[in-house]
Amino acid sequence: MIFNSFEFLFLFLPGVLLAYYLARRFISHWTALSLLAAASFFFYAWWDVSRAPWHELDGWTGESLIRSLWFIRHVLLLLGSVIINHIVARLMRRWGNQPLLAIGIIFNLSLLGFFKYADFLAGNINALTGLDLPELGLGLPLAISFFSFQQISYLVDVARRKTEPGRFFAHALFVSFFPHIVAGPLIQHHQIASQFNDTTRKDDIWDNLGVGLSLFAIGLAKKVLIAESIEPYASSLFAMAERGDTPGLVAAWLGATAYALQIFFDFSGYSDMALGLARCLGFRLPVNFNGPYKSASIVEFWRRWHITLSHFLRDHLYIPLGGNRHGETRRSINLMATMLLGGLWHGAAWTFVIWGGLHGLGLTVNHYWAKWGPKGWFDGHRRVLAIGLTFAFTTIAWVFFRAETWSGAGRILAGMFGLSGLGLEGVSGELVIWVAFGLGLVWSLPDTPELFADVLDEQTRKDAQITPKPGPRWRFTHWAAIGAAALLFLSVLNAWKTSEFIYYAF
Amino acid sequence: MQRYAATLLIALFATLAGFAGFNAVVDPFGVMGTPDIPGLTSRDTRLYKDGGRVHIADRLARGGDPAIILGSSRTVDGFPRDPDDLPAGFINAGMRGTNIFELSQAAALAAGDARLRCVVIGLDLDEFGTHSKAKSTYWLSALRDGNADFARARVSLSPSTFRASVRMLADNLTGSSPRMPWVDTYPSGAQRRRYDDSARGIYRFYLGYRFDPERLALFETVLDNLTAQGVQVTGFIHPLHAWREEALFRAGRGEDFLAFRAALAETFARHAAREPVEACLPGPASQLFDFSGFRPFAALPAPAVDATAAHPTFFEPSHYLPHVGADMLAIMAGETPEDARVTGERLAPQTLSRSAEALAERRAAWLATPDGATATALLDAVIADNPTAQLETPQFLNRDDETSVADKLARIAPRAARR
Repeated sequence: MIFNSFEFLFLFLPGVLLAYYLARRFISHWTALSLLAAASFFFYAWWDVSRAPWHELDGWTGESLIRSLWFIRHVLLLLGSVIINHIVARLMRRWGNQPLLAIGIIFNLSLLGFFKYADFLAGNINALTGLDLPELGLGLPLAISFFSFQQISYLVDVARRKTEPGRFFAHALFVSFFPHIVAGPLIQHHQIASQFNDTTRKDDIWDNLGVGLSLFAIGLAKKVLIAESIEPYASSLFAMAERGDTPGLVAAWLGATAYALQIFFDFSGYSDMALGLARCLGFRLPVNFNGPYKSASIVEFWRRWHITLSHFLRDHLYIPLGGNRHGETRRSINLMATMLLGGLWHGAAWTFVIWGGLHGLGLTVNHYWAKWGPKGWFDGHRRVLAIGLTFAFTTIAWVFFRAETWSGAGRILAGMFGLSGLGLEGVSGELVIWVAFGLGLVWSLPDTPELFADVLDEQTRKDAQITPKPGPRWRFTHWAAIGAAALLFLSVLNAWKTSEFIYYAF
Repeated sequence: MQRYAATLLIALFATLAGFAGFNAVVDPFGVMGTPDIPGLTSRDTRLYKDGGRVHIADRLARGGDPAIILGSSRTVDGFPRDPDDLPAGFINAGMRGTNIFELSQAAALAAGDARLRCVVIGLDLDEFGTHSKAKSTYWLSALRDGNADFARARVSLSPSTFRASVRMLADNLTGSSPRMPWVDTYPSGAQRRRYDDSARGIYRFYLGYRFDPERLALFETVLDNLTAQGVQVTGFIHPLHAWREEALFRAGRGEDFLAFRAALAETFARHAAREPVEACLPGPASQLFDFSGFRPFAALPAPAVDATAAHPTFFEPSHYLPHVGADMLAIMAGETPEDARVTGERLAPQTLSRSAEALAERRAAWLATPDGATATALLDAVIADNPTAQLETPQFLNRDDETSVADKLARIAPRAARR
């Protein structure tokens, strides 16, 4: 079920909102959370359930039962992961952290490695050694990258005594909570556990729905009205390059920029929707994007792009590796290792590793520039240059992220570096207009967290390092409500053509 | 905040309900089953105005037709629309502007119904190009996900439906109808202009044409599944008027066209050995007919400069008349066509070279006629202007596209047992 699908918008979401608030009002807080956990597992299972060939089953036989379980294997995997991690967390409380924490982390990484990287590893070993190791071809369980990291975050928070293991279904809900399970934001357990445990919280339903639906409207519009409109141009460039075409300078830059815009509007749209949906239920999720293309350096970019992943990698990889505590060289090595693994987390392909490596390099250069370069050179009007350079760098790096093969990436990069001529052929007026429109939006308007800064709580702002600047804010007026309704209406009317979110593939 | 949220919800649901309700009541594509309102919605003037996707897809999703003829506008216009004018059980399920992506989806969707026995599908080079995969109403229709109920919900919430609803209401209120592109008589010169303009435009189209082998592979997946489940699939290559075919050759796509015919023949031959449950046409589970290539009925001279009567076999260079389609169906059924000029042949890998030679001979013969000389002069003039290729942003199949076909194919097998 995707957020812009009919079944989600008109059946699942209204049903869940109604059931949750009724249960909370008339039964109990914990019953409401249990319902939410069950709904979230249903949401996750829908991918398998809706596609499984149920009609092939032949009555209530043992074979049918086994086949039914196979059809829903991914949700069983998720449930199994929750059970095992919960047991580990409880045992950690009783018997101490080590070696249980290590065992828990190894279990989660093994699960991720087995499903996501086993074939990648086998393929590379075969290529290097000439062996013929079989590839398992298991298929990637939806969101395994996200829920594996959520589980690690849970264990680490319990180990650090930031939170208690809590009730089983509260843990299950933390991992499976439908607004964020598929593509984040990555939540650290302590960020949401206190909200789950707050039994005395008063529901301001109107406030929740008002803010939540407004955030959702903006996210849906980003995805449906912008990302999906730009997608064909980006896909076309990459598909043609994969098939042997070499785009020229203009075509390559426009296509790559189209992808940079598509992934921003797609992923930040998803994140806005996730925040909005959680807010409709009264929960506050951490902010994931904050105008990343306004960044004047790669360091700043990672403070604004996929913020929750940056925080996760910082807290659970970069700092444990030593962070910046052992000198410049060690910091560079730690940064590079963190970003290479961060790249690999996105997908089992060398192109993702290179994408991560490029960002690691960018971060390192940034740090050296900050230390050895002329102080304040990029301040003032030169900040525009810094923003342009940062955007160009990230756009070049996106080529590796999006390309399916080295050769495809190579052809586009050859075009971007002017090695294949000017390349005006095939550049359509619509592409130029969409790219100009997209860049205009990202560079001239505040991103969603800035726009809604007044209704974000202080902790959320602090976590995302948001210091609201003076500028336009979403005012909760009569006309703004009609505007949000119009945005939702237009998005719903155009939602049918949309595909899955880019990050669903990870 | 209460006022804000209430306004937002009321405005949203009022507009959604009003919009969907209006579309459902008017029902321009005839999929909702709502009763007609005399004087307002009784004349279904817009049933096929989206190319027929929504209406045809709804029919295919409901099932019940034992044999369907699929294809683009060439099929829509080139075969009788009234089932009584077709062999028993056949319906014309053509949809304007489709290409092989949509046609593959349609075939897979139709085969989900156990009563389907045969698919006849019209193909040509255009349908395998890298241009747009699907027209906008494809995404609303049951072609997209095979779910007729969800499709109706999408249709009711679509701006395309709203546009058609408003126009249908206007048609009913004013007594007007959409303009028919094809008629029996034309103003003097109108037909010839259509031939001239068409040849010019199509030359530019073929200059920018690019074949997408992945679309052929997608079609073969569907062909493989259908024939494996006992459905007979008969493909045929559409005839085009000699003016259009000559534009194709002059644009340098002649070799592509011959390679395409070969690839298609080999694709059909790979699945021919299967056993159809109940064949509608004589021959194997999978077969290909060829009606293209300067055949006598397609090489009749273009209308004279001042002609008013309709051309005997072609509306314009890309679209043949329904009696031609009926004769083509007769040839595929092993019968004698009413119009002896209509010819076609089974195309198989072993007959490819002979067929290509015959095509070259027919082309040479036509070029030697006055009509051939006229077309040559027209195309010479076009080429002398050094026209630019008509380029669209190429589109390629993605994971979603393949998944949507695979989902439909997964529904075929369990029902095949009942076939």
